[in-house]
Amino acid sequence: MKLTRRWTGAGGLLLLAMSGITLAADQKSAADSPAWSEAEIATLRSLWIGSLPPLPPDPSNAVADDPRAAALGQRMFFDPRFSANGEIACVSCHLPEKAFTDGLGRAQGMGTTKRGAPTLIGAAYNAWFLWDGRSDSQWSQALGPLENELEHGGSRTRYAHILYSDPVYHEQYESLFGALPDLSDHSRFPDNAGPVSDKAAAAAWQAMTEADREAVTRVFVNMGKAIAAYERLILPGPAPFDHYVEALLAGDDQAMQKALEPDAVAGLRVFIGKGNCINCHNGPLFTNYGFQNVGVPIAEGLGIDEGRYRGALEVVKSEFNCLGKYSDAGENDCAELRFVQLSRDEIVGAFKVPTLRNVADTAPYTHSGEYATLAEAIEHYDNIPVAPIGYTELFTIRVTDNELQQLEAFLRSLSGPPVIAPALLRSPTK
Amino acid sequence: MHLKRLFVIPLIMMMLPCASVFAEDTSLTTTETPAVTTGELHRVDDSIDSDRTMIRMSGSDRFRVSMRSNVDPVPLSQIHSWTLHLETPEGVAIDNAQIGVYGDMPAHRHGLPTKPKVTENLGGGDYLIEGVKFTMPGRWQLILIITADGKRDKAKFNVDLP
Repeated sequence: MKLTRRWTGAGGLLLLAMSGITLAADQKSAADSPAWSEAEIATLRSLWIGSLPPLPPDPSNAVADDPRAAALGQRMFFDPRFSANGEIACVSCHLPEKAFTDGLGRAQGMGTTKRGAPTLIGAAYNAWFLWDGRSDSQWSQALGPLENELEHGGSRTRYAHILYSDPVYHEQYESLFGALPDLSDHSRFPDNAGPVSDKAAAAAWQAMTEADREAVTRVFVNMGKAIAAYERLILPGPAPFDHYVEALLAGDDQAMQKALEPDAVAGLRVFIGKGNCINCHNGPLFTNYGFQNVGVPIAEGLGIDEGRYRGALEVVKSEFNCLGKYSDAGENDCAELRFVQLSRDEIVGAFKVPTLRNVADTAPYTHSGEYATLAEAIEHYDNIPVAPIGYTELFTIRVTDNELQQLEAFLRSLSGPPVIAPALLRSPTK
Repeated sequence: MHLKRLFVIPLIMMMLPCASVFAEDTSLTTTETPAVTTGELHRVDDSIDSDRTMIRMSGSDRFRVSMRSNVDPVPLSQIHSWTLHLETPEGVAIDNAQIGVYGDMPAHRHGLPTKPKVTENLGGGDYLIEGVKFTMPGRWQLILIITADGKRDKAKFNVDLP
């Protein structure tokens, strides 16, 4: 009897020792949560900000990485003169203190738009811009709001006049892009002219010669390219989740516990596990940069939004796309556009998968601000509706209420200040 | 039939080139002639799920097709190209084929997020397929509709993204 017990004890000790070794090899996590498997660790590493590759070049924008362009772009970004009423700048909907969004479900410029302003943090990593991806470059994305009657409400000729008559803009523009056209003749270049919805401005645009229209459009395009050069500098910084992964990779239990609360760790487990969130929210920016129909209900007061289907049809026709004459790209640089999915079945009702970095700071959620809080947005996945148009891939995830809370705790751990010099967070004239 | 399948599966597993980022051997085609014969490479559709080989006979044995990603390992959420190599069952390269590229995720309802196409005939039986993108982890299928020498057939390839 005693002998058996001793052998049992020894066997037990041996087992314990072996399991201790195994646990150590598996990178043991916080004391009371199970260890991560090798496969899970690889997934966590793929989500970690350390896995973010260097910003890819934008071949369509010759000044994308030129610091002088970024300086010019920053000046314009914060300048409300580039609007119909002199009060709306890019910063109006992309506030640095609100994770470069505006805290609204639907952006407000000259009027109320139909969709929310996405964050600019890390936006430069995208292949497509805006909720429906109707811009295939960051520079062309900047142009739409500038002439949209509900946003800045101005026109390209109005803006060209500002660049021409302001000595700082004039000098900065010409040192980058060469001579501005001579805009001093207002009969040739009216105060307000562009292919916009304002009838007077549209008529004035039609009355211009084709050569003059092209000259003004080139200035307009260059504005977008400079703004994009500035926006490329708005990069995501590490969040508590990233510290957790670093601690995990270093085998530092204490640091792991310090980085994330047990609820957030549990939420992370659901996120990469039965929540299936990483199907679309994968990679270091927690997005596959694609378009998905998640069955967002129709927003009050708005009709059906076909999303990517309309956006894709629009971008292939746009004069500002990758293959257009204002793009600096060669044909081989435009794979996303050349092979774009246009099949209605696949993309109707689909919207851009947003990054989840800083998601806690970018309420409300979905393209039209359908969900005011993160809890409601997460709840959507626990109760997938029939998509108002098209179909959604999603099926309701089988999670408990507690797990929904844990998911929220995890998502809150994805917030971190962007990596950008403080001087770039305000107008350079100040 | 069942007995044959039992025999063949471990054989295929042994020569598995794999698209997984975990594989030590990240090559996606065998450069040497596979040890198995044409007949044993044939797969009926319902066993395709267990088979990740990147060299295969088309569905009705009309062509021998191999596929290789030009980015290794196969990336997630990044547009990239593949090279397809086409031969007769006897191993003679086919230079003049028309090839349509389709695909999906068999466990999901959706197709490919892009519209890949053969953009270049590289000669020697090689064709460049551009515009491939996989946006989710899991099993994808690339489906080639091949018309050459008056014959038409379909080849399916599994691509597993971890």
